Amino acid sequence: MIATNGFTLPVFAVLIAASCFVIFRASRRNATGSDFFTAGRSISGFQNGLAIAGDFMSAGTFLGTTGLLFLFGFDGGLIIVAALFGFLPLLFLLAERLRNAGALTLADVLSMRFDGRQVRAVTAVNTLVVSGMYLFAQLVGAGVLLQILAGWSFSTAVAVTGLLMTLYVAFGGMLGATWVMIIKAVILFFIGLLLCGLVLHHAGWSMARLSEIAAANSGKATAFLEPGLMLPGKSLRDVVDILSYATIYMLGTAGLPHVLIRFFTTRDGGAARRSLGWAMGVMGLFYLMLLVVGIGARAFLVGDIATAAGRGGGNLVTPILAGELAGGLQTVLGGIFLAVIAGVAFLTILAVVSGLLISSAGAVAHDLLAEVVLRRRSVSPRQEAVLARVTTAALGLAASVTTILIGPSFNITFLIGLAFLVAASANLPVLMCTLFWPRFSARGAMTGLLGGLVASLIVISLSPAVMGADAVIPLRFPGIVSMPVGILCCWLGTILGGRTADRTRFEHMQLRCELGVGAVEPAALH
Amino acid sequence: MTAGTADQLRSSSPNSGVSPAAQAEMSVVRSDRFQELVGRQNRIGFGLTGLTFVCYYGFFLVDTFLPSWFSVMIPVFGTTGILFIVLTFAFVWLIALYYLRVVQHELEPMRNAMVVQMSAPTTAAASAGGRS
Repeated sequence: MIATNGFTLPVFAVLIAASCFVIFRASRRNATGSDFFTAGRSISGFQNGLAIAGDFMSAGTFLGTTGLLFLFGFDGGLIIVAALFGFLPLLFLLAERLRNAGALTLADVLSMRFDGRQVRAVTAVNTLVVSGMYLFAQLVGAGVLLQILAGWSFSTAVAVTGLLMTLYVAFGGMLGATWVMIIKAVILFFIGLLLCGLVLHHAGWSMARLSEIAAANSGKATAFLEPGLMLPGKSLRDVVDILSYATIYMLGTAGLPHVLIRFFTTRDGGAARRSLGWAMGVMGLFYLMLLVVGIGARAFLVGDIATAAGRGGGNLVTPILAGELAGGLQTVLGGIFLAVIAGVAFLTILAVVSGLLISSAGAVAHDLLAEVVLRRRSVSPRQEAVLARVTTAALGLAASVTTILIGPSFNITFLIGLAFLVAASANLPVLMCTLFWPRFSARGAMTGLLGGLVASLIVISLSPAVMGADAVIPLRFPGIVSMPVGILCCWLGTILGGRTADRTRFEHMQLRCELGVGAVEPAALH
Repeated sequence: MTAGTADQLRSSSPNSGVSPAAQAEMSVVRSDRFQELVGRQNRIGFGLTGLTFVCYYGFFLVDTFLPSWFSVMIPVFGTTGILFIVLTFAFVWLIALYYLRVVQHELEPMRNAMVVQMSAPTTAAASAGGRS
């Protein structure tokens, strides 16, 4: 624990009070299910861009990437390249079409082409698996991090995070979660800018000088600035692992439900498109700042402080560096800076888990309960909003209790890995086939969703993330195996499924997705 | 709606088992202008995605097979590796900006024109039927 000082709790209280005020304002605009899940489609392109950026400027990025750069030098920076590139396929192929579809959830998009409850139910289950695994991972991470940053016990940290997350989403819905993300993104951006400026100031405003000092202090000389410390690339297995890592992080991003549902919130397709432009601009600048901060941490943290910063996967690098740059961890200014970083990290965690919870709640309340169990006609928009709130409360409670029960030592790599694998191997192939392949059938969608899910479960269970050194599949990032399986399942299910695809429904969906008009509901076509 | 689509609408059978609105939709989707719009959108989208993959995997392949390219100490950026990262970011921003401009200036006008044409007969029919 490093940050329990007199400033930590007041900073936390101010940030929580500010976000609660935002949630209170948003809670008055959540009358229907559409309001709850899509913020009434009232978000502008710039706002949504900041919210997407806020989603990806997570604690994992803010603290974790800086830590990776501190520990592994150049290789630690590869993840920011993968993270930024992942948004280009989304921009070119998906964002505008998803918004134009006028859906509330991912399953709604697929249901434009495929009737029946099976496809919707399986899509909802996949969404729940991806968002749920990601949510558990974030909550475990939050518990571990707040133990260190705020001095709380793991159970207290998860309980506080879970309670606030549930309240934020249950009352504020997507609108509240969006504004918390926007506020957090802005605060984080300026903190990143301040840290970056301080680091460069200490290095005489020279990146070359900063790199030289970092290499000298790393104990690895110039190897610190070269590829190979984290991803060696010496054997064929290493090469395949690097390419698989690149693939899974890029394409997994385009299949994450909590990212995709952000496009449903914008005013129109053009706003969805422009929002990604803003998001990539803000995120790109922030990532470049992290590159400077991470290398700067290696340059300016030495001795025992460097050893302390390197513990816990390097998650403490940023707060410790902030305290040191402000004059030392024991000084008043250093303490304040440390508390602010801890507070912003907490707000970051809250915003991200809120986004994940709303994605999970949509899958359960809208897809499974309203559309599959109760059927659409029996649930009014206002009843759906109530259902969404109750579901949110139940899921938030369940996620928090489960996280406390599984404890801080649970394998986060498995959870995050599984989320990205299912997103890239099941969600993305099926979504792409739905939008672009006229012959794609309901059987193909079912096979693709289930095949991608099962393949993801199998490959990660046989990988080092679960089996350690005795892994059957020796790849740390086995997406290069499961993704082709998911795509093949889509193709085989369609070719061998027997029933031909409904061309009229494809055309209806195409018209809606390309032009943003939907004069006729799918049912009217029959 | 295009003139061709309007003609198709007028000639469609009222007893085909499909509602008039659905027939109008199908006519629009099968019109040359809509197919041209979709074709251009797909060519641009998939073309730029392909370029993105080439650049992205190119970066990782250089990282894997030619790590010495990223290891040269240079002024300003420190190493060529950091310069490459900055260049990939510049690529992402430029290609995104290019796409946004192309869609804004070339595809949006086509879309808007089709939406206006589609809504015209609907409005006329609604007026004739006394409904808003």
